[in-house]
Amino acid sequence: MLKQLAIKELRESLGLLALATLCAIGIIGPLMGKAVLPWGGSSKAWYPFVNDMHLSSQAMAFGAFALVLGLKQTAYESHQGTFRFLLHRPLARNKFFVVKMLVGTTAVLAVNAFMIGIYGWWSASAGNHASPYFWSMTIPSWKLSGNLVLVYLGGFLSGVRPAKWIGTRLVPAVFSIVCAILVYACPWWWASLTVWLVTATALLTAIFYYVQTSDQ
Amino acid sequence: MTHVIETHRLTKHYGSQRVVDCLNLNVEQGQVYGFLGRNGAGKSTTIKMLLGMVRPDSGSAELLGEPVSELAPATRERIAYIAEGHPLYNWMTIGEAVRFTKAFYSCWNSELVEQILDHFELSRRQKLRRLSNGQRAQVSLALAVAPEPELLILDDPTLGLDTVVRRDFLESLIQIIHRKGRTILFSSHILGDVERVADRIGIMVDGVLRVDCPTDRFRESVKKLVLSFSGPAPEEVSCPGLVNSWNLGTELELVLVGYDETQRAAVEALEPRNIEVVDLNLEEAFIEYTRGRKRSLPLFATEESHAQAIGDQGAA
Repeated sequence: MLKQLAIKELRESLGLLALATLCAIGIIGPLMGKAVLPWGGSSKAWYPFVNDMHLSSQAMAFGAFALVLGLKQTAYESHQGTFRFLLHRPLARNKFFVVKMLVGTTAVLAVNAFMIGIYGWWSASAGNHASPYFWSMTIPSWKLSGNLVLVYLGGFLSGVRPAKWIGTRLVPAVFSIVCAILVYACPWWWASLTVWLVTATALLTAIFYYVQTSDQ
Repeated sequence: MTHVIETHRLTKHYGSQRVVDCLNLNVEQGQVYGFLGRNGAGKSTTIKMLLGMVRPDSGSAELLGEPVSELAPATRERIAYIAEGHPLYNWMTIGEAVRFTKAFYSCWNSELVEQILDHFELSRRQKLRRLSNGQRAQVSLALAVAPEPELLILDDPTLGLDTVVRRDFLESLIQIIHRKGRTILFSSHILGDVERVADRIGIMVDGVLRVDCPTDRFRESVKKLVLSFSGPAPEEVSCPGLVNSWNLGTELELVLVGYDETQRAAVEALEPRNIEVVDLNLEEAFIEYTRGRKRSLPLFATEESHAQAIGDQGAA
């Protein structure tokens, strides 16, 4: 049943995943000197993974994806009334949401990995650019990917937490974005990791609390 | 008798409004229980509390002998629920919905699902988003009964269905479930449906279970009396079991619960020229009863236990 649940979650996320993949292509295409859109420019002037050009695009595009995915998996399902079809099935309620979060987290990491992987592979291939390249230069991108998991959890919590849209509904999302920025900006890895762990624990604790206690 | 559904002083507030008020509801094994009430009476909230979708503010509820807050997956397998509006995943085909739902159950009667889909002429390849309300109800029914549940809870399952589909749906439901001695609790606004299938009814009025008795007993208990007078009818009427009264000049219409000798004597004391006792069908009885004076409505139940249960509510 967990497999069927995961397939269902994946199937429902496919549209957003496809959109995020297109965004990834749209971001890295110009950086690799390939114009993706007819009216879009391209430039090979960037040193791969050296300047922050790809990072800001990654943060904006996949941050939005993470947030919308978290909301779609919860608030949208609640709005459609399908929780009433799903949640009385013979399975502990936490498990429904654990599967949702596993699929969502995997999707967020997968689109980031896709972008970093393709851009990294292009950067590592000889003859593509005239600058040194080491795979360790991708670390800030991976760090950002980890931070976007927090944004996803913030979106997820915003969906399960009872609140008004014109009100405090998006407070957890804003909180998670602020924490993600803090994690990224922190110069010490141990401090970043601590803030990440504390934020993730707080978000997960709140999610499981609301999953168990809020009305559907 | 074993109680398949049992609630004790179940209460729920939304904001300052008490939508379910100290509900004591007992449904016995094998019963088809019609759960009635006007919009906002608290039926859906009660059903959601029974299924653990909504947390009660106070009180307790048990399904199949287990507290609803701690229902084990094995017990949930024995309970089916059809939610109001038949929510389904619209992107799925019927076949995908069957496969998805089947994965949750150890017992699944595939033959029964096929029979129901065949009966309603539904193809497994049809997308759920393309189905009419009636067809969605039929798919919901197939998915609900396939795990061979002991208890089926339906929240207004025939809402929005046309007369023919509604009749077909209910008859299928009764054939499939009730012949096997299973228990059904269903809420509905359509009294004809309830009259056709329910052994017993409960009527919620403003969150309070005002009626809990066999269907026939309720229908027979609520009477309309038309009193004709030579002159103007009296303005004030006091009579035990009085639900409502209308002064129509020289006529007085009274709706009474449990019309008996005491009431007859009280009515005769008004010295009418003529008394006409009008029998009501379930729908008329329901309408007359529920549009009465709400909190002052006479409570009635037949069994001691139910009388006690309702007494608790009155006290609350």
